[in-house]
Amino acid sequence: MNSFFSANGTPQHRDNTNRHFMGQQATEEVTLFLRKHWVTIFPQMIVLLGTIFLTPPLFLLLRDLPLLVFFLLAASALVFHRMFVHLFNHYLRIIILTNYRLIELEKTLILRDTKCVIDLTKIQDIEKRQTGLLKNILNYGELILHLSSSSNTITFYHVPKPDRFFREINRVKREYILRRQEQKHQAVRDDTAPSVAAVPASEQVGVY
Amino acid sequence: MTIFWIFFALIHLLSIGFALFAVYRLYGYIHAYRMPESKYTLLFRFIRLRYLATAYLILTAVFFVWSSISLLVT
Repeated sequence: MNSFFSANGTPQHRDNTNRHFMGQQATEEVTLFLRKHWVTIFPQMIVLLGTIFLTPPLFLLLRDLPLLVFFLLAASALVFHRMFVHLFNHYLRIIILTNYRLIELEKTLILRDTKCVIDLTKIQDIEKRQTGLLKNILNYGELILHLSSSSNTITFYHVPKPDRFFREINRVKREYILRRQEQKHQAVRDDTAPSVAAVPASEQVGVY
Repeated sequence: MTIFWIFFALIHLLSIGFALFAVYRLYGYIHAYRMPESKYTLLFRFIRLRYLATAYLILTAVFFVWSSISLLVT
């Protein structure tokens, strides 16, 4: 991934506005993004494969019974489309970690389009849970974010390789806090009030 | 038999219509979110959304053609 800072520590001035997703800020870099583990769509994949491979023989077996053939046709079409929509939904639900915030997109093909944005400074603690045989063998688990602004927690379920995501959130959060502190100290040194205004407008986030 | 064929045509019209609608919605998503995909984010490390959408359209067409031929032969 590209770093926000160049080798000599100066910020790179590349305009990333709407580069990877709508609402991306000019200086915002996507550190990583992830989808849920494939175990969440495993049952749908089995049903889909079953429909594809079992419908033709059943169709031939029941060809003398037109009513049953009709119901089989309707049922297989319904299951076929339903399972593919499940597979598509797997791709649409993503979690994006940038150098400013964490964005959760809970989108489905037709029925849902929910976005949740969490500023990295609002994350107090991160907890990783990986309990059970299947979760440890297939390497997925839950990430629980404890937010500082309220007693609420946000849980991401079925996160693949949770260790990697856990480390990345911690790293990016630490960098973000250090950068903000440096900007505030710079503002104090320049005899400017250390306020939010010290952060360049291009780096202020909160508006998706 | 005529009613049967009408229902048959209706099912396939709905099926193909839904498939086109789904792919249209997916195209909108792919256009809006150009995420840097890698082997860590793809399903089974290689299945891209475009592959899945193509397979979906092809299988819908195959389903239509195959069931039509089967019924015509019987």
